[in-house]
This record gives sequence, C-alpha cells and structure tokens, in this order.
Amino acid sequence: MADLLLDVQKIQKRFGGLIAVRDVDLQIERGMIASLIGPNGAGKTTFFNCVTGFYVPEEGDIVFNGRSIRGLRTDQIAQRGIARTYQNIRLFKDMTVIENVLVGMHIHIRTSPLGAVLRTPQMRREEAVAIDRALELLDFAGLQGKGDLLAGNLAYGFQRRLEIARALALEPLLLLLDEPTAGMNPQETDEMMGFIRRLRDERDLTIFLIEHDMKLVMSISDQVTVMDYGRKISEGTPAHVQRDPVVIEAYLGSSVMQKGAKDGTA
Amino acid sequence: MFHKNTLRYPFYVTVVIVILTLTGIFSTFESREVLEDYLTLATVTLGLMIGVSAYVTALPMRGRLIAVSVNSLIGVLIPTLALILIVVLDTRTDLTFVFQRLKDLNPGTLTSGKIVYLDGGGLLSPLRDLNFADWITVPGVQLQGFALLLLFAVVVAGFVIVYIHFSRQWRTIIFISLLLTVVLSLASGQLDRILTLPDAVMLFTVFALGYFVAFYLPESLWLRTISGFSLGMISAGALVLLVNNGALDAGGVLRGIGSVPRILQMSINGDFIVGDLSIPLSVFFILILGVIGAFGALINRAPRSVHDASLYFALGLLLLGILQWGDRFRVNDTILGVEIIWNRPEVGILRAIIIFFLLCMAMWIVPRLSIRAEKTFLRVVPVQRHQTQFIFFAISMLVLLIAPQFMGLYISNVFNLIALYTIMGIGLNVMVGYAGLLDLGYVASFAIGAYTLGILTKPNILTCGGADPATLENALQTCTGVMTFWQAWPICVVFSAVTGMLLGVPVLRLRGDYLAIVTLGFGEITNRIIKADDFKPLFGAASGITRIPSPVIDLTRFDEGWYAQLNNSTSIYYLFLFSVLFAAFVVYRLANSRIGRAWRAVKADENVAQAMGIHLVNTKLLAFGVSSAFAGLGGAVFGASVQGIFPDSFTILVSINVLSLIIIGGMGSIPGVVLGSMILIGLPELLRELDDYRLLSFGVLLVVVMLIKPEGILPPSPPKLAEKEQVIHG
Amino acid sequence: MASEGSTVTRRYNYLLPLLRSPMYTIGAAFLVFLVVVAASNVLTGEYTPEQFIQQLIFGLSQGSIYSLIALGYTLVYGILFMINFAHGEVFMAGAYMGFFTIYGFQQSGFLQEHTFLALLGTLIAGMLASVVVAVLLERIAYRPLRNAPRLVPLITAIGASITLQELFKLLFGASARRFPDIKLYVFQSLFEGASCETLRGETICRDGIDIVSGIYTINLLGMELTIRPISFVVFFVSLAIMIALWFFIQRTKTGRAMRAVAEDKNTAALMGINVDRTIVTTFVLGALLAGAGAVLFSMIPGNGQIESRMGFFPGIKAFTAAVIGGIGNVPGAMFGGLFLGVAESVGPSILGLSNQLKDVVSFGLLVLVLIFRPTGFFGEVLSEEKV
Repeated sequence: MADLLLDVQKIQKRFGGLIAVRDVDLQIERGMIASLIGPNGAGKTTFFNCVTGFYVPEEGDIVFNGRSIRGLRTDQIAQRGIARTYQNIRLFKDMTVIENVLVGMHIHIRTSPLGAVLRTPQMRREEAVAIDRALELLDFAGLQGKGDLLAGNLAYGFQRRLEIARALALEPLLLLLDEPTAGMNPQETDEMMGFIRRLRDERDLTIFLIEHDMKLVMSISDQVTVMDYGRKISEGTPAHVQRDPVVIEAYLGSSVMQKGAKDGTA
Repeated sequence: MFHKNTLRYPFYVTVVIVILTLTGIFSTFESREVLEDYLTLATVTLGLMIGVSAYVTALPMRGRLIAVSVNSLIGVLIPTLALILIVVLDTRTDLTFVFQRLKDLNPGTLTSGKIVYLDGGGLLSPLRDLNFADWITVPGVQLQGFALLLLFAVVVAGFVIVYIHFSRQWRTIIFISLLLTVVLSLASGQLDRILTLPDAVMLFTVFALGYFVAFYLPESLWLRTISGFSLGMISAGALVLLVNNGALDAGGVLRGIGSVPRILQMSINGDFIVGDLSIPLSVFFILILGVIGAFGALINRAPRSVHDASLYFALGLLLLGILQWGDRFRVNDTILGVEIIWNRPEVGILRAIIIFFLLCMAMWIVPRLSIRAEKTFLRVVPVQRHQTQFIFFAISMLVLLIAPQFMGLYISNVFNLIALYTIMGIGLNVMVGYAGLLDLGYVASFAIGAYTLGILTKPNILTCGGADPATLENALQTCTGVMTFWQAWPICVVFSAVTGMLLGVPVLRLRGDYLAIVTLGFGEITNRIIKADDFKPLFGAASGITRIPSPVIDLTRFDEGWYAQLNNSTSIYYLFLFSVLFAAFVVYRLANSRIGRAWRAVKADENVAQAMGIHLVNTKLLAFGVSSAFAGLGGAVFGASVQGIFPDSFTILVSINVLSLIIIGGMGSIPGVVLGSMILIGLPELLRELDDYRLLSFGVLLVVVMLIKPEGILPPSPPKLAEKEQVIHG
Repeated sequence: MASEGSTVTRRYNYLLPLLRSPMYTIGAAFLVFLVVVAASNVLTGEYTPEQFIQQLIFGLSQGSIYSLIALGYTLVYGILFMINFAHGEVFMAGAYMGFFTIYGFQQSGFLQEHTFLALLGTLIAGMLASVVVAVLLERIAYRPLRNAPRLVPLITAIGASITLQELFKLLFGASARRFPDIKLYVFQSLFEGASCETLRGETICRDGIDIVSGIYTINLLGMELTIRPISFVVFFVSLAIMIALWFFIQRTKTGRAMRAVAEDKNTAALMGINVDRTIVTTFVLGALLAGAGAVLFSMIPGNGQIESRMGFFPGIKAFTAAVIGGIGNVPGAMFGGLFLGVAESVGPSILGLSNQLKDVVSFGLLVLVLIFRPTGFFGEVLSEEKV
C-alpha cells in the first residue's frame, strides 16, 4: 500500500451559483512530484486554496498525513506541514530577503514576547540559529549575498526563488507551487525545473504543482491530474495523460484562448 | 515664453491663498513679529505664498531669463489681484457674516487706504510716506495700499527670478534655512533663556576642536577619545585662567554683551558637596569640556545618522546662544573699551542674517562631512563599532540628564509634552506602523491610564470600599485602597492593555476600515462616559479628578536627604524621560524579534502571513495590548504630571495628534516618532500664536505625505541581519 | 536541523480561548441583561406607551437622515471597498450651504413669501455644496491613490476629514449657527385655526398645520401624544429621495454601469464603461443624499447646530447604520439607518439611562452587531479579498 501524504476526498467548492471545484478526488504519495494542469479557469488555484485552508470546501474531506485538515485555519494547516507559493508572487516586499525567510520560520522559533524584550540567552541562540538556517536556505535557492536587500527590489526570477525559500523555511512535508515558471523564459524555466527536482531529492519534499508549461510538467511529474470546468477529467502518469482523448479534447478546444491568455500575462 | 501651465499653476495657488485669506490668516499672523519693527509674520506669509506661485510658474522656463521673469510676474500678479479683489469686495458688501474671522482682519482699515497685510510697521512701512494717494485715488477709496501690495509682489517676483537660478541643492538649502530662520525668530521669546552666547561658543568650539583634530589622527578609538578629552580639558584650563583674571566681570571679554554665562561661571565659584566631600565646581567644568571634546573626536567616525544629528545639535546650541544674545542685548555696552550703541531691532536683523548664513553653511558642509564619517565608520571593526555606539549612547544620556538644569520650566514643559507624545507615538506605532491596524481611538487607552491612576491614588468609592469619602469622618483610615503612584502605574498599564485587547476582539476579524471607525467611536464613547453625570462618583464628570498626588521618590531609609517630590516640570521630566526610554526599549526589542517580523508580515499581506503559520488574531491582539499598554503608561505619567485630569484633555484631538506624528515622522520607525513629535508637538508649543492653524496643517500634511512620501520623513531602515552574521563568521 | 520539522508544536495560542465563545457569551449575557432592564422598566410603568410612540416617530425621522448618510458610505464602499471617512464632512458642507442659502432667502424676504420654494432651493443648494466637496475630495485625495496599499487611502481620508473640518471652522467661524425660524402652513382649508401661538399673553390662531416648527398635542386611543409634523416631513422626504435613488441604480444606464464597476472594475472597463466617471457619479450620488440629509437635519428645530464638527457623530452613526444593514448593500443601509434611529431614540429611556449616553447606546449596538453578525442583517459574506 502506498504511503499517502495527501488524500483529497470528493471535495466541492462553490461561489454563489458557480461550482468552482466539483467532486474532485486526488491522492499524492510521499516523495512524489505531482502536477495539476488544466485550462484557465478550470479551478486549479481554487483547489489549492481549499487544500491550504483559504477556502473551506462544502463537501468532502481533506486528509493530510493521516489526519483531516478540513475546516482548520490556514495557519494551523501550515503548522501541519503544508507550504505554498502563489501564482502572482506575494512576498513581503518591504521586508528584507532574509526577513522574508525568517517569517517562514516563525513557527519554529519559540521566543515569547517577554523573552524578546529581555533578550534571553535562549532567544539569542534561537535567533542566531534561525539566521544561520535562513542564510543556508538562501544559498540553496541561489540567493547568496542578497539577504539584506528589500524583497521588492529583487529581479523577477529571484523573487520566485525567494518565495520558494520562504515556503521551505516552514519545513513543510508538502510544498504547493502555483505556476512556478509563470513569466519565465525557456532558460529560466529549465533552471526552475532543475531546482524543483533538487527540492524533492535533497530536501525529501513532496511537491504538488500547478503548471502551464507542458514540457516541464511532462518531464518532471510522477503523476499528472487534469482538471476542466471544476472536474477532474484525467489522472495518471504523464504518458497516460498525454494519450487520453478527453485531455486532448479539453486542451485543443481551448488552446487558442490559452495562448492568448499566456501572452497577455507575460 | 509661456507654457501650458502659465495660468493654471498661479490659479491653483490663488485658490489656496484666497481660501486662507478668508480664514483670516493675515490678521492672525499680523500681530506676530518676525523681525521687531520690520517684518510681521503676515508679510512673510504673503511673500511665501505669492513666491511659491511665482516659483512653480517660472520653474519650467528655468534658464531663459526673460521667460522666467515674465512667468514669475504672472505668478505673483494673479494671486495679488485676487487679494485686491477680495478687499474691494469686502468694502462693497459685508463678508464678515459668512467669513467670521475676516471681521478681525478689516476693522474699516480699507477705506483709509491701508491694507492690513502690509500694515503694522511691516517691511514696506517707509513707503507709506510717499503718498501714493495723490495720484491713484478713485472716488471713495484710496488705493495707496493696493499700490504697495503690487510693489511688494514685484519685489517678490524679483527674488524668485534670482532664486530660481541657483542649483537645485542650493535652492533647497536656502529655502530651508530661510524657513528655519523665521521659525527661530518667532520662537526666540521662548528659547532665549537657555544658553548664553559665551557658553554656546565655548561648547561649540571645544566640540569642533575635537572633531577637526580627529581628522588627522589614526582610526584608533581610544587614541581619538583621549586626544579629544585632553583637548577639551586644556581648553577648560585656559578658560579657568581667563575667568579667574576677570574675564567674566562686567565689561570683561567673556561676559561680553548679555547675561552672565552659567556654564562658564562654574569655573570660578562654588563647591559641590556630597556628605563630607566637597569638590570644586571647576573640576566638573573641566570634566564636562573634556567629555565634549571627546564627543567631538568620536563623532567623526559615527554612523551617518548619529553623526548628522550630533552636528546639527551642536549647531543648535550655537544658535541658542545667538538668540540669547539678540534678545538680551543691551542698548549700549562696552566691548574691549569701545562703546557700542545699537537699537534692538537692528540687532534682530543682524541676528537673523547670522542665523541664516550659519544654517546655509551647515547644510552645505554637514552632508560632505557625513559621507566621510560613514566611510570611516564602515572601516572599523564591528567590536569597536559597538563600543562607539555605546559611548554615544552614554553621552546622549548624560546630555538628557543634565538638560533640565538649563531648560527652565517652560522649555522642560514642552519637553515633557514631546516625551508624552513620544511614548504614545511609540505605542501607537506598534499598531499602525508595525501591524498595520489603524486605531483612531487611541485616546481611549490614554484616558483609561490616566483615570485609573486618578481613581487609585485618590480617596473615592472604589478605594474607600464602597463608601463616599466626603461623608466619612475617618477617611484616611477607611480608604485603605489608596495607592501611591508607584503602586498604581503598573495597574494602569495592565488595565489599559486588557481593555485595548477586549475592544480588539470583536473587530479583529474584520477589514481594517472597520477597526478604524470602531476605534474612533470607542475613543469618543470613552470621552462621553467620563463626562457623563451617571458616573460622577468615580470619574468626577466634567470637573474631572483633581489634586492627584505627585510621585514621590522616598529613599530616606538609605539616606536622610534622598527624598524628592516630582511636582514641577523639571523634576517630573525624569519620569517622562524614563518612560520614553522604557517604551522605546521594549518596542525596539519586540520589533526586532520574531514577533515584530510577524507584525510586519501581517501588515504586508495577511493571507500570506497566515499561510506561513502566523496566528493572525493572537499577533494582532498582542499588538493591541502592547499599544494600549503604552497609552496607559502615557496616561498615568500624564495624570501624575498635571495633577488634575479633565474630560476635555481626552478628546479625539489626542488621537489625531498621535496618529499624525507617527505618519509624518515615519511609520514603524522609532526615530521617526521622536522627530514627528518634535515637529508636530514641540514646534506648535513654541509658536503658540499659530495654534489656530495647527490642526488644519496636520490634516493637510497627512494628505500630502500620503500622496508624496507615504513612508514618512524618517522611514525605518531595514535591519542588516545577513551582513551581521557574515561579519561574525568571517 | 530539519529534524524537528514534523512535530510542530502549537505555541502562543494562549489567547485563543478568549476568542469566540466567551465573546459570544459576554455579548449574549449583555443582551439578556438589556432585555431584562427594558422589560422591568416597561412593566413597572417607568416607561409608558406614549413615550414609546413619540420616540418611535422621532427615531424614524432621525433614522431616515442616518439612512441618507449611510447610503453614501454604502455606495462608495460597494464600488471602491473603502470607507469614505470624510463623508461626515460632505454632510457638514451641505448644512453650511443650506444655512447660508436660507439666511439669504430670509434676508431678502423670499422665505416669508414663498416658504416652500425657499425650502426647496435650500435643499438643492445644500445638495450642490455637498457634491462639490465630494467631487473635489475624490479628485484630489482618493483618485491618485486608488491602487495604493489599503492603509494609505484610509489615512488620506482621515487627513481630508480633518482638513475639511478645520477649514470650515476657520472660514466660517467657530460659533455654531442655526436655521432661522421657519413656518410653513399646509392644509389650510382642512384645519381652520388649528395653529395657535401665545405671544405676550395674546393668542393668535392660524389656519393649517405648521409642518416645520409646529408642535401639536393630539388624543389618540386615549393617549395624549405630543407630535411634531416635521418628523413626518423628514421621514417622507427622505423616503422619496431614497426611492428615487433606488430607481436610478436599478433602471438607468449609469446605474447599471455603477453596478458593473462594483462587480469588477477591469471587466467593466473592457466593456467600455468609463470607470473614473462612474466612480465620480457614485460620489456625487452619495453627496446628494448627504446634502439633502444635512438640510433636513438642520431644519428640525432643536437639532440644528451648524458647526464644523457636526458631521462627526451623524457620520459615525450612519456608518453604524451601514454596517447594521450590511455595508455595500443599498436597502440594508436604508433599513439600518431607521433601525438605529429608533434604537437610539427609544434605547436610553427604556433602559433608564440619561440622554447623555444616547451615543453610547448606538456604539454598543455597533459592537454587538459586529460580534454576532459582522456582515449585517442584509449583508452577504464579506468577501475576503480574493486569494
């Protein structure tokens, strides 16, 4: 029996009359790189938001690491070990790069308000360790030497990496990446692909990503799930999904719009 | 020759000028003299206004003399003509029913041909004798005043034409220097008792001596300190010799013109007695100058902000001396055997010119020196940097500790007010600047602090166990609940913190705007409640709580003489100082910990912060608690310092003041708060007559700052965490 | 170092239990307490039905003015998702203009001759002044900051509010002003000699009912009621204006554009709607209502002190009304205003409090609503910004 990390059971999320996610089932095993693809508006990001607790699905259950997380607050889910990045980068722009990462470590630092005021030896030790770890994470993400810059002043590609570094600081079990290569050129995309692999291999992470770049999805994923109009329409290995007529139908049907939308955002 | 805004800019400025005129700004400002007998504030304001109009109109044409001249003339003439129009209109119809404050402006002066704007012995008063009336009279109205006004406008245009051709840097320097000169002249009445000119010159010289000698010394911390210190002591020794030879006597070199210098006087007479020990004051004198010399020597390797602040502070001392010289000037005096006879007004002009040039010079030279200092600072090893910072801290503490000895009651009162608002600003900054929660009812926590103190330290229903103290015969025995200040203040702090948090609970889940308006309501409601007759036994309704006992420092168990009652502004100053330092310390520590980072993350993006595992409600509640706690502290200290609290001291104005000062000073920055309260609280105290326009300028400043520089004057500088770590490791 | 990753402890949660349930409990206990106090006051006869009816009528008229102002908050909120803090000052501007207009009419004698027309003119003048202030406000203070972080326009709004207050105080003086005495007799054929006044011991009676400053005592079902017709006038005029607004929003092209912009600015712009103009229109509508409210407010005898801070409390209360009805919701604001007006008028005396605390009652109501139903009675779920 496979070691399931995330088990989403028939969740449904509606906004007024619109059903954004309908009866979606999804399982991710530990150590996998899983992808979620689908045309724009298929409900992918809504699905992410359900998993991370921004939305509470009306029906179904989400089991993470053996326990249900449905209905928990976002911060509780983060503490259980799910970290995420965002489609449109959402860094704390007025804070420095290293501070962004330190915010990610918030739950691993124990300092109480009183301890912070008195600057107890324990607090200082903890802070030093945290900064060390943050620097190490920045190195890992290729941001060495940029620690004291303001996050908002980084180049686009570096902002993406910082967002991932910040998510890693949570020490998650599962990392959700929402379009990690959006707006990148082919070379940067290749680098990002390598980086995602390293995340899994060197950090023992399970990765779940939304992506539009098919080349990337097909080459790194262990499992691909396809959504359209809020439903899961196909699932399996990249090879299986690529041959699935339903998927081809969904994609061909909307490929023109897809292209237009991508150009628009780039 | 013209550009597309040639008419538009003057028009905008004119609208502003007309509105301000209708508020009666000129009559308010007219009674205030900038230069005695020569220049009133009204004239300065008028010049500034039409000057700005000319400047913005002519600026796009910079470099083309004729175009600049034409444009600046247009710039001054449009508002001037508008003013003339108002005056004419006012003679024809009665505007004062609508614009009530205009009544003060024009008590029928217009028909006699004078215009109030330039009246009252203003700048152009000599011109009045020229009798324009002969050739420009129309039936009913004499136009002499209008001619003067137009002439004045042309002169201002001339100034602008010259001014516009300076470089950008010099334009800034000149403008700020002019402004500061005006402000100093206006405030001179309050500032002229602090320091005498000889004292000021002595302090400044010793400081400068240390500073410049250190230029030529190697970058060793101790070498510099010692050289500066010894230089200071040598100068002090020389002064002691001079003074003992009669330099301070009437007619002596150092006495000069003006009053007896207080610091210099220390070098001759008196002993400082502690127990059996008696130390001549001159020893202190020598030590003080030594410390100042050392300070000067150290400052030129300080971080930029400290360096600049110290230099401007030194300049400030010198300017205080010059102010004192001007105001205490004796009409005739003998300097070095030469008898000098001057009139006070002329001295005033001379003084203003000297101040203006000193300011210009300082603003030109300090940035240059500051770059140099920063370079040196960055070259020294981190350990020594810490030592340097520690020494600066110690010295500034020393200055703050002895300051009330010189400030006198009025100025220390102003200082206390600044300190009070700094405490509250630091507190509110936690909420607004760090956590991004807009609290408009901050006065509520302030009031809770003050009233808690008032209730706990006085006999009343609560402290007398439910009995009315007025009817009790043995009130002192029954009222066992009455506390001293020191017992009560922690309760005040905790109680405000708790009420603040309780208020936060229902609104924290909602958007920030709700919080703003609910807290606004809360502030006003608190005021209603303390005012209401329903709670008179506790809060005293409109008559408040009076005769709150002053804090007493009673250490007689250690030494008979160690007893002090903090009952005037120079002694309660220390309580304020301590509270400011305490607040700054706590908030600084919190802000630079994981909690501060969580606050800032929540401010930047709530949802993302939550997805990083930050518990939103707890984080915000903590901000609420800390913030309200400091308002409570401020309230308690305020209650103890004024000894009587009334509902009228706790209006929404307090909230607005605190909010404005942190926003204008710089959100999330402690130096910003200090600067903000100096500018927004201290300055208006020194320029009391302008009080009417205080809130208006706060409102305008809020809007303008948000539109132009939303981060404020002194935004927080991001911490250098990564670099520090690398230095330690490397 | 990553070893402790999976066993995340939950810390710094010590404040959590304080939160939801205790707040509910405290709120509920407080409500029960209020009900008990009110009931006992009614049962013991401290509070009479006469009082109730009079206060109900007064509350409805006051509340209809709150509704008018609350609509301004709600309209702007619906479209910009910001609270227009300076809306109270827009109201104040209308009152000032109304005052100067009616004073002018009085001086010229127009008021005495054509009272109805003069009042109409005053109403229009007040509305126009409010519009001018609101449009300037939008143009200078809000439009440049439309895409700034949320705190920024909020602070600007506060700054603008202070600026306007102070400017009006400095321009028009700190002393409070009042509308002149107005008498407008209607239904003259119906009520002959109904309005009597005693001046220096001499009683003069006139035909008709004075619907502005008249006070009449009538007997209804055995109850002796003192009634001011102005209350009804204010109520019905406000109602008419609100109905007109409702039709404007629902039936006209501009109204549709407003709803479209409220839904999604970008899409609306793509559909060829001029977003800037639509936003200005919203401000104009809000200001028209506030201006009308201001003139009505000042007309009520005993109400109308016109001074620079007069917008503050009506502003806060109208906001409360908007929240009670569900901010962003037009019928909600109408209802909320009426509800608040009645609660505030009936509340203090039914609870046996002094009238000094009437503002405390409405604030307490706001807090209670925020605890139990933060979305208001008619509000949809407050859309947390889209994630």
